[in-house]
Amino acid sequence: MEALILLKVLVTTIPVGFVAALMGIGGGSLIIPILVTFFQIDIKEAIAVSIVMVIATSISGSSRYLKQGITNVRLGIFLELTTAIGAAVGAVITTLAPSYFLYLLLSILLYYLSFIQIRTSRLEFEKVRYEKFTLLEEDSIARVLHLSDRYYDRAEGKYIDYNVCNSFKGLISSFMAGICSGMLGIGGGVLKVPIMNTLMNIPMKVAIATSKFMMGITASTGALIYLMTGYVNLELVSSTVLGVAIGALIGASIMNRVQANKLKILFGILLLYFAYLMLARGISILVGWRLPGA
Amino acid sequence: MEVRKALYLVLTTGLIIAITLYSSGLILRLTLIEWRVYKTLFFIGTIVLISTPIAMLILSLVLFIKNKEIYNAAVIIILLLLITIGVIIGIVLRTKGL
Repeated sequence: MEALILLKVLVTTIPVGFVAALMGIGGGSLIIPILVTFFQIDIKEAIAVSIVMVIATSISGSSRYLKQGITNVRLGIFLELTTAIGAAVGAVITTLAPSYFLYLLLSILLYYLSFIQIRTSRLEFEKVRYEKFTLLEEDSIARVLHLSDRYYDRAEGKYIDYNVCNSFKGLISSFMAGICSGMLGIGGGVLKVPIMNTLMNIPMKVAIATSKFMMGITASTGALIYLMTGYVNLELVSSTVLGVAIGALIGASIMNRVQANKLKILFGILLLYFAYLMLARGISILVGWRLPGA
Repeated sequence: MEVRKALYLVLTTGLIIAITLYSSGLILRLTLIEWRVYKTLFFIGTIVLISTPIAMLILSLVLFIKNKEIYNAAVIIILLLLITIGVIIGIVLRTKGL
């Protein structure tokens, strides 16, 4: 691979790391189209690179969030349990349903979640400002595992306490998110953040930081398999990892300064992009139309 | 030691080592094209990067046991077992071309 291309990849991937850290996603769905479209990298090679890259964005982002005390470690590990099982089940049952059906179904779900995120952005602002995250009582699982916590919100300049609710439903939903991840190859971040925020009464910033923390664990399993079977292009990985690590450090540094309702709107817009991507892929398989990004 | 602080130290150390290895390798790759040492640096960098989240989980397990958080420790043990099984199955399937 030419040295100039490696440098171009490094520079191009900085914004990907930035967005991934800011929104709590892995960034695989952003980097794969870039590598394939702009650098003519083979799709399988791009997927292997993206898995290693997800670890880099996760480590860079979550190290900052851990330092700021935003990440809920216990909650992340708890939900990771069923996400990992779901991803394995998804990879096994991927042949049971036609892939176009799954893409179209997920597209509808993402459009719905996007609508919910944007519509409830004002509510998130009020919950943070008027400390309403403790109004609901924590459930028994949250009590036993000490899942409820607090974080310091820099935009508001105060500590925000929150009680974790619907832990069992969250566990089941994470399993479903894992299945989607295993079947369709999308990272769980786009689904896990809304699950935590909307269903489990987790503040948006904590949901983003915890999602970032979780995805490094999931991706390391996949990356180890790809590395040991010789699928990883190490030259490409080096420049991609350096680029996204820089971007993720910047993104993670500013996330806590942004108001929670604005983060929700940005996340809703990002979900719209993913919903379109899934729709384009579904249509491409079903009727053969090649929409951009499919 | 507080769990978040300990995990922050593990992640930061892993990231710094991986980035140092990748940067050194990339500089060698860009300046001395015939020198193949960079490939070893890239490989070790990738191993460090992949191992860091697992090291973080193991450290969490130790800290939860130390803090007598038995349920959280049990969750991590199950998770580590699942990861091990997943890696073994994944490697077997990939090497068989599935």
